Amino acid sequence: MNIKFIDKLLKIDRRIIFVLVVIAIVIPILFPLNLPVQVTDEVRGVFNEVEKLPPGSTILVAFDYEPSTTPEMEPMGIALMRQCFDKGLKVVGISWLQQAPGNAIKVLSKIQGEYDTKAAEGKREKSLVYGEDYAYMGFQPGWQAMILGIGRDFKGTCKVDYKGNDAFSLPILKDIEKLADFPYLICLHDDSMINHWIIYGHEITGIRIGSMCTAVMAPGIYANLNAGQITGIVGGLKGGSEYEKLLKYRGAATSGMDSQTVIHVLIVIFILVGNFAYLIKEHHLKKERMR
Amino acid sequence: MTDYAPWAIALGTWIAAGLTIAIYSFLYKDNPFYKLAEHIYIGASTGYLIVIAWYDAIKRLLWIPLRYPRNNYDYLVILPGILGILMFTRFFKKIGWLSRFSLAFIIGWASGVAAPAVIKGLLIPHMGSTLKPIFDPANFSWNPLSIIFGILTVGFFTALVYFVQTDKYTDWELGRRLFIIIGTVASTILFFLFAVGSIGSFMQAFYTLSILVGVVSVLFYFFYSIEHKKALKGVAKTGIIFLMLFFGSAFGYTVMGRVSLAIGRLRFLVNDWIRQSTGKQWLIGFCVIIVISVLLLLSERKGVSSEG
Repeated sequence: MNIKFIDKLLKIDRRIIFVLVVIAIVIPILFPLNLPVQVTDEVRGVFNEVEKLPPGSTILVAFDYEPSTTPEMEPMGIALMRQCFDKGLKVVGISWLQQAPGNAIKVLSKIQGEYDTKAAEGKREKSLVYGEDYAYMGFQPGWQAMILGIGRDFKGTCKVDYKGNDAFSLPILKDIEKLADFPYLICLHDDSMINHWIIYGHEITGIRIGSMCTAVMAPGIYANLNAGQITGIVGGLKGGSEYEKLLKYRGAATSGMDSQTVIHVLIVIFILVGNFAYLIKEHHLKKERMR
Repeated sequence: MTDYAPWAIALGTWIAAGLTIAIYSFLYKDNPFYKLAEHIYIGASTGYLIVIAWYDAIKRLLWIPLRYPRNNYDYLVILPGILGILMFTRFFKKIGWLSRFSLAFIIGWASGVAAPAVIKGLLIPHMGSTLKPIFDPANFSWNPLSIIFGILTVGFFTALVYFVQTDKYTDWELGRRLFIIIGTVASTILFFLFAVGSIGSFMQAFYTLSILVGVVSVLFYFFYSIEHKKALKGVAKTGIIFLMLFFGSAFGYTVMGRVSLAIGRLRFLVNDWIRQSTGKQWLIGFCVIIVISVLLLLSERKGVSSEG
């Protein structure tokens, strides 16, 4: 092989790689590939737990992700809300991160809009009502103390929702006294917040927990899954696409997986070509030294 | 919950698209657009955090309970309030030492709460999951084949450790080394297969054994009181392999996560910005971009000439 070409390949301008990455992402967005998605047991662990709940149950959803991880987390959040509201479950949201309320309100607004449209079109008897079908307690500072506090007294600890309504006045919290009164908790997190829920929530009150997290966080919490502290993991865009498949629709996560797959193939090609070129170059230099 | 006017959505989309492109322009090289976007990001996020801190923490948890107390206990918030105010004394040299009271409270409280909780909530359950039986008693059975391969596994493994420990292994030629290694691995696999009977149970036993071997070998790798040589070097090396596997999977997940973010931004640019924008919006957008570009370039030139 021409050694000059190998040299060029090894010193390729990184901007060319960036352009190739952009092309690899954009083409599947413009022309969807509709690649199949395989559902894993980890994702079923969360999905089935929600499916098992009887209609009318109230679950707690911790929105603990920041705007920087919205592309990964939002599709999961939307899928989860659709599953809950289609099943007739009630959702109480809460956040320990200061930057999380914007994301939580965005997801809930989107879902409210969807169900308003469904109700207007006659596909549903009625739309969602804030305070009855769902509520959001907003950002609550001091997660350790707060989790311990809601473990004993939910309404007394949270006091008001993000709109300033008294927690005792919200119909959705009528039967909720403490954390253990929620049959299930799902933590949407982009950091180690799940550990606090496990340590101060699950281990003390026994509440069952499911994790929806970024891909970066997923490997670290398999230990918790193995220890039986969480029922399942929905990790990253891949996890989101599996959840969408279980709900039988192709959403943002599933369409994103087309680009993800193409990009992964491209990265593998980059790694192979880079190593191959490096080995040829080394072999060539060795030969020259021998001469 | 929150409804926005169409013009506000369009404006927000254009600002978000402009800032996204400005940030990505750094991939080409550092430039004034990137700097502008970076400064806006820092300013906006700091402002957002201050607003959230004011409304959701100071006003809701301190101001309202003091102004409209529901019972006498509400007045107790004055204590954390004072501790919070003391943190600001760090800005004044003479009374800066007062902030240590707040820090002492935070550190003392958090350590006191966290130490037993972490042991009970993480350490013990994770140790417990490591110590799970390798074989499910319901599926495990001693039969002639499993007994034969069980004895062979113990024999091969003991021989391997013995020869490594007595330095004989290093003097062997490749064939003998391969024989004992393959013998150990193959007899272990066959023992597992014949003892559990089904592939599913075999895989379950394999996973449990992998976790056990991984935990022990990685812990040993970080155990420096004994020199890692001979058979113990093999244990430490196994630990390195498990660490590398973890780093590899974590890095793979990280790449997937970062790519997901890029996909999210590009999907926003294609679907929400390019496809949704009207001709009028494009015209206004271009005019604004040109004005910002001229202003930025002028300020950049001014900066360069004043430096010169």
